[in-house]
Amino acid sequence: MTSIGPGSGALRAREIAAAAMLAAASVTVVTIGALLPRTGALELLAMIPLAVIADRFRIRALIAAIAAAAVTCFLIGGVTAGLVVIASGMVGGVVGAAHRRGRGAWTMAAISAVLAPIAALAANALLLLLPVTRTLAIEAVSGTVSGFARFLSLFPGLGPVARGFTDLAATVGTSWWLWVVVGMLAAVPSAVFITWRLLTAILARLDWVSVDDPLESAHLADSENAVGPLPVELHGVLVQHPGQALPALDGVDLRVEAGEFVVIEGPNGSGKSTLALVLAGLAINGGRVERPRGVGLGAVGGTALLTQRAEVGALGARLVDDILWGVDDPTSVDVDDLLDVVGLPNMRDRATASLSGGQLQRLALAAALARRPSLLIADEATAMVDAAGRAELTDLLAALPQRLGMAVVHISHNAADGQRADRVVRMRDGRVEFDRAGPACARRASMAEFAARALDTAGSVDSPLVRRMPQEMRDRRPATVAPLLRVRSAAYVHALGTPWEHRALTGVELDLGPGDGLLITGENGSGKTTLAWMLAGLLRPTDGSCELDGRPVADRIGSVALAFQHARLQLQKRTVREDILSAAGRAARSKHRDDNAFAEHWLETVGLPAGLADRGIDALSGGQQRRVAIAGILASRPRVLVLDEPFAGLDPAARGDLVATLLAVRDETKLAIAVVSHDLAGLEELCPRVLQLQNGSPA
Amino acid sequence: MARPARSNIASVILRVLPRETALHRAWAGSKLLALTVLTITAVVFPTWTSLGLLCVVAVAGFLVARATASAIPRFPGAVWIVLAVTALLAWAGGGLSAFVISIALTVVLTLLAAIAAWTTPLADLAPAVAVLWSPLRRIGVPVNEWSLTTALAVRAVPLFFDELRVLVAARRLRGGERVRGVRAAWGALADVLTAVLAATQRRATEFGRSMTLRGGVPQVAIRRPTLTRGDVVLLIIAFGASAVIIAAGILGL
Repeated sequence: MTSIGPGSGALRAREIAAAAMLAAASVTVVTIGALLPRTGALELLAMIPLAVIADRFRIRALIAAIAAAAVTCFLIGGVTAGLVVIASGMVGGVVGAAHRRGRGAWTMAAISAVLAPIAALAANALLLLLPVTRTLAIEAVSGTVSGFARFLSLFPGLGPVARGFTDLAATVGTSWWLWVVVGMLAAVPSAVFITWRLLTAILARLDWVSVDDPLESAHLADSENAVGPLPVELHGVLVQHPGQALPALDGVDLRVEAGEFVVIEGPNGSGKSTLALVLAGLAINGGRVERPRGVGLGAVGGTALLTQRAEVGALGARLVDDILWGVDDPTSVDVDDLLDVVGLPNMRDRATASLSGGQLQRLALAAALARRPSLLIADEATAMVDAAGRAELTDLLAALPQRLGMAVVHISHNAADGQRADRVVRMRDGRVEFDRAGPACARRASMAEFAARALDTAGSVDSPLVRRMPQEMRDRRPATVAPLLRVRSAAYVHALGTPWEHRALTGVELDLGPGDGLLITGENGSGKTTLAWMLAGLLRPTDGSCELDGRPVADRIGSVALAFQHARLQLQKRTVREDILSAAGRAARSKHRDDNAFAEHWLETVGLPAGLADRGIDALSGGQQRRVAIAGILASRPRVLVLDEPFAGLDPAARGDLVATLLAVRDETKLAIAVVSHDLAGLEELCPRVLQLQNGSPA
Repeated sequence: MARPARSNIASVILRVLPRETALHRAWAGSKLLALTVLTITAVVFPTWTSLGLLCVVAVAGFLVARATASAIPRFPGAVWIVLAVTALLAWAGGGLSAFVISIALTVVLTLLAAIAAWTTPLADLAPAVAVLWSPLRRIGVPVNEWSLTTALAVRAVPLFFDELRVLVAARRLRGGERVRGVRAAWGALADVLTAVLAATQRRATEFGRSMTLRGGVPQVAIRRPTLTRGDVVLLIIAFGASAVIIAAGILGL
């Protein structure tokens, strides 16, 4: 593995992002170590992320990461934490750099042999320069050691040992420098060796190879050009992703002009997203792309691309920071107006971390519009928004060509979106199946009206879900059988007794019996996830009760299963098989002699091929990881299963499959299921009952 | 009535006190600078004088920020026991005074950092650091990329705390499985770290792509901060206290 991109020069976006994330990982570890002295050994782990940077990126990225980590740690955890991170960066950096060159134990020994004397010398020089600190340290250490000696001398027979410690304490004062040398000779090689072994174990499993972003390379090549992406014409474009048998695009012709609303549809894997990347400037392997001037990705008047996971890319800490991120002239942007248009009114100073997935997608659209692009490409960019919000945002996208004269290319699963298009392009197997005028062409006049309406209503977002819910779903029918899980007037207050006290739940009542299905829904911040954690016993109600078979769930964590939204963190083993077996626990799999058949059975239950069992966890896609996590949970034979946003990021087909799987398991095993979801579509059968939360209370 | 969940440290660190005080209004850079100066002098001169002065400064800051004792995270009982035992040993060996100074200084310095954190939104940290670092550009330090890295790292730290919380919860839910022996513990450690780094890697890819989509690596605007009277008072106190500590240290007080 060699360094990415140019060997010199400023860091690229990909490198800065990696340095920052790995620095943040180190900061997290050191901070927890500093605040919880009991977990002090944790601080050793801070070296690992920094070693990864040195292993995979340039030293320049490592230095930026150390600087960022040190200043952040200093503020959060004080001076010790800051110094720990700098030292970790040095040791981790050297080990990572050696590992990158494929060096082994001997090199690590040599590194220790060089580093330990340097560290001892530096520490001794510091102590020599700081006489007051030195005296204090000597007094404290020798005092504690001789105190220990006096303690030992209380026991008969330990006299010689106690005298030994007394002598030892005396040497601290006279030859403190020797103690430092001995300490460093012990500490540095241990740190080097542990870091090296862990780094080797982890990097063998994780594929950090994709350190380069092809879109970034294309953007850097384009950045010298003047901006002018429209009209863009594709002639016989061929794109072949490395390592794949079939081309992603094969002979695609397409023309996009200013003022057009083009909808691109087609099944998964038909090349829609690749087409979006080509429009955004990705290098092609055949054919040609003609534009008057440069693509201008992210430039004023250039091209804006909203990706499928637009909800994860918010760069700013506050909404306003995110919208203005990288904008040359912040005064040219009316942030409040933009937030209004995308349906996030008066949220300028809110933290991006507090937004829901749907709100983050709205924010991504606002950030794109801030650059007044000529070409806006939206690749499934409204998937996390609930149904009503999605229609609203699609209206907004459809209105932009008329209102601002930009071209909008909207990639969508939703067939109804084609109704608003000037042109509909259907993709299949990397080719254009058809490209024809959409219905909207005939209704140009009504489009303006449409636009006005969309912009008017954009302010009212996330209208109470309950209004869109069929009447019969709102009825909270009592459970038909004796409940397993019983929640009575339960309340939860986060950070109780601190200035940040926040009441998340009040007066929640619910019963869940065998074979039951309950949907827990509500707006962002309504307490859905808090309730899910409470149901699983991870949070103990601050008032009221949450009981399984009459005993508090919090006393037996694990008796109610919980599938987290972030599946990767739930998977804890190296391979799919190991993880399913570990999740199942010994009791559940004791009936099966054959571990392989056991894991494969549960893989098939969740609709995954049995052949996946030997794969590494990190070789799976996000959707597959979520299914494996659910397979492991089902294999543990829970009686109650809580799923937190299990459909986030899944396309409609995958979502339908997962619902069918859960339905089958529920009916077969009388499993009680509670689903936490902001999106109600298609859940009527799985969850006949609905609990609507509003500000932490049942609505 | 259940026991309140006070011990959840992740829920109380990195959070700004919901108040409007002079310290909240002060520039983040002044607070960082004050903190740095006080920390350095205390490390060079760990004496009763510095401890006393820093306590006064910390109490004043605590009052100005209108902080309450309830904002301080609770430490687990084991920490207090270890501290008490060590103190007892140090007392028996005649090193109690040195032990008290070193522990108390660490606590006061952490408290000073906490006061800065309680009054500074994380979003304000990176721009302030960029200004403080800007003189280093003259000696060729790539301040722009350091500042951007800091801004993104600061943005990501709360996300990591959340992820760590989920990771711990997921392990508790699985329960049952005892880790026996060094080899098994080592394997479990590698498993956890791999999960954390996989999440890190995903975020790095996403943030990198997101930057590219916004036109790549921008130039961070270094804006001269507008200093208030509070900033001036804060810096005078910090530098004044440091000067007294240094003078006392040199005179051997």
